[in-house]
Amino acid sequence: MPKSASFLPASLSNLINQTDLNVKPESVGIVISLGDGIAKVSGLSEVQAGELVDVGQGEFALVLNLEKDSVGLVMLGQAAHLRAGDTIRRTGKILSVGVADSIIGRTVDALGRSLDGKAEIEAEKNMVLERVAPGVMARKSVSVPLQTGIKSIDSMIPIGRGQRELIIGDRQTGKTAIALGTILNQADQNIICVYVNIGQKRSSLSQTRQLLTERGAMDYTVLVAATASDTAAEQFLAPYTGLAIAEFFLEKGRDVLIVYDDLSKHAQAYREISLLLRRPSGREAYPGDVFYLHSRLLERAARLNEKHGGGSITALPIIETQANDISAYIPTNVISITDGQIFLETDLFNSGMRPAINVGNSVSRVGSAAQIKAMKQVAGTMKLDLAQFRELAAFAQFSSDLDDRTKAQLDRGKRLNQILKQGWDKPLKVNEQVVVMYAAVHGYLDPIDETKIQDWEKEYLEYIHSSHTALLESITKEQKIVDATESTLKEAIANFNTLHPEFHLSE
Amino acid sequence: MTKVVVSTAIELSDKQRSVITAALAAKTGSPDIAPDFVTDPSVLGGIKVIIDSQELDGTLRARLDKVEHQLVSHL
Repeated sequence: MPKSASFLPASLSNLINQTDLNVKPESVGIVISLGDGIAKVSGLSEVQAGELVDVGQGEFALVLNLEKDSVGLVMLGQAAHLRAGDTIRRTGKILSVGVADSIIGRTVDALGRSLDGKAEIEAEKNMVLERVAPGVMARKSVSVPLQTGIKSIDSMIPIGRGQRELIIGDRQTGKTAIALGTILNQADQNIICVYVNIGQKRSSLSQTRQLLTERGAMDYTVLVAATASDTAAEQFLAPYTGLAIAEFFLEKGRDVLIVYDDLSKHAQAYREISLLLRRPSGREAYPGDVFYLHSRLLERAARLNEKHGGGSITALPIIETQANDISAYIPTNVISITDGQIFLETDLFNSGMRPAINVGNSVSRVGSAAQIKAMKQVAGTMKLDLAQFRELAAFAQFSSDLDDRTKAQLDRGKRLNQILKQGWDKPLKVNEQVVVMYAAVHGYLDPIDETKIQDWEKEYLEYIHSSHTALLESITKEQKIVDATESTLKEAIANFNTLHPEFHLSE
Repeated sequence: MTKVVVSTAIELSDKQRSVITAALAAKTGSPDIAPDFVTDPSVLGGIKVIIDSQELDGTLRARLDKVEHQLVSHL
């Protein structure tokens, strides 16, 4: 007979003996009405707003409305067994999620339950979902860069650890790609990533998970998902769950990157709940507190000072616009809360500019303080050059013969645009970006055929990696281009260009 | 007026009812309470009292549920 068979009854009776069978007074309520995931309940005296209520069969509801004679609940599951007249009871618990180090690499739902078929997470600590943002004295200004690995962002719209940078654009412009590319680039950056999927297809969640697993990014990433088929309440809670997980690591002094994909769907889920709870609606039928919904979420992204552990939470919220309308309600709200935005445009995307970032309209309000000196050295003139190029390009459409200087500027601009093109899943290290960008802004690309710039870049990086490793190391070590490095770099680029005449413009 | 519901698995005798009423009157401090006596076989045994939104559940059903919950949450 196997050993476990004799062991089981003893442990079972032990468990049964441990059960507390004392009768305690409990606060209960009677369901008056039920529908669309919303229940109106009488009784439940002394219940708190935001408290979890046990509706039986292992399912829970969340208290959102406290009224004179009734309480408004929103179901956190299907709760198909619930009928009007049923008794439900208070738990006295505020919504929280059990987190432990072992959550890294896992996929969980809005309540922290396993979605990946593996065992439930054994909670080391319960993190409450709604918490006050860190105070003024606990914070520190942004000074360490968060490398996205994307040339146009790291050079011109730099993001710092602890910053909140909005990614905004129409559907199919590569918003998620930028966020995922950034996660891929954090492999050796000692950053924990949390990707929150709100109201998206399950198939895209599964794709994201597979991609991150294949690229080894699940070693430092947590996925939190409330997909389109989950209840509105779960979609409403998912960003807070992700943030609670991020805060667990923040408390340990870690740097965390959190992506909310996307907050438009989050606002819609909250609008659905609010309308069903019959709260007064405002602009675009969103409730009055939809600004607070996002501000209290994004305010919790912060860089803490050493006294408070020195960790940080960097937030990359995503907003989907309709027909580039950034003056709609939710986009303007989130733009005003964040520390800058990355604009993606369909026209740019369709013209082959990927990532389709509109550099002119994108800003980062605090990130430049975090940019390393080497990047500042090469990118300083770049934004200006590109702005001049855009102006000239618009003007040059009307005239055929241009003076040489204008022509040179246009050619330079075209090449700068070409060098900013990048596959979303091909992040570049900051030192690689610097050597590429250096060549571009110092005119080493001027003799190169515009259509061959991408091949040029690939070969060039291989060349630098094989013959000038010291150069890359020096940039990483010094964080700037010292004079000696600069002269070697100039030589290296000139050398490379003479070695590869196939990339040159044919005369 | 305090609303009181008393649930049992079998119908209570008049004597049992008056004993329970007296006990509840003493407990709540309002002498003129009139509990609703409900017969609900699903409680299996014991007695459940709901005073407004406070519930005192001493039924067999509740105890079995607690044991079930204990077992499920540890296995």
